[in-house]
Amino acid sequence: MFKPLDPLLHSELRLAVMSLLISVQEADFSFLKEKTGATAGNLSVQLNKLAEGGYITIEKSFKGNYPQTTCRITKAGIKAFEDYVNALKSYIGKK
Amino acid sequence: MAQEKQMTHEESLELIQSMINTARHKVADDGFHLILWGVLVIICSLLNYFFFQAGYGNWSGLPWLFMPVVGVPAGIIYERSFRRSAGIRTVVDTNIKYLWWSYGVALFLVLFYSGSIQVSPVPYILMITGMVTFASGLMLRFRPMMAGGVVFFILTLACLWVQPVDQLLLEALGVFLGYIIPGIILRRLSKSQADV
Repeated sequence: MFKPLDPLLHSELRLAVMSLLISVQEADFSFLKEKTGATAGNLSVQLNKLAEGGYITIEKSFKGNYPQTTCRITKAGIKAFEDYVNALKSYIGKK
Repeated sequence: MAQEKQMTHEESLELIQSMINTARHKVADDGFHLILWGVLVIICSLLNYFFFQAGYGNWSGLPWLFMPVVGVPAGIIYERSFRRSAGIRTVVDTNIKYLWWSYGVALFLVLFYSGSIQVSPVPYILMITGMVTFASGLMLRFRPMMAGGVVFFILTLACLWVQPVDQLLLEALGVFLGYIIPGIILRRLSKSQADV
């Protein structure tokens, strides 16, 4: 029996963001935007979906005079990501 | 990147792998603090040396008191206002920061202790500076910093054959090789990453 893939993670941009955040402590908005190649609007919407799901936290602050948005993965996010990867492996392994 | 593009399972795994590799190879340190403190230590070492040679005795160590007065605010102002963010912070970056904070405490204790028993602090400073520089280089996998740490260790031993006042010149040399050069290389590396 295949485990269903988490719909919150099975989207290209949200999965890219989670993959970036899983290997670092925190990343700012501009870094995520640059590495994913997404538009600011789209990225913002997808980040909010991940935050609403409890997978990441978003912190807004100022660096000098510039606003800074910092994202961190949560424990629930790490667990969901690991479950997603394990589910993917089971799909690919049983092909 | 499309918002809700349907991915195959293989595409999902490839995406995860490529994004993890992207973040892993990023160096967050820009070398500013190595260069700042390196320059300050060299200035203070040389002033201390020349004041001692000029016959100022115990007063010749006075420049060291001004080093944290300049270095700490300059470091804080740079971090808060001028530093171009690398965009990420890794566990390694955080560990290195804690390591240098611990070094600051150890350095204060060395200065306090050596002042109390009237011995030259330089060999002990070189020793703990070598340790923290070498460990940081290992954690960053940055060979110039590891080499800098080795230079500090060698100069620690060299102090055995050098008069206490001349040890100040070894300290200036060590900091040039162990802080300034790795700092400049790190800064260039950081800028070239940012320009990609």
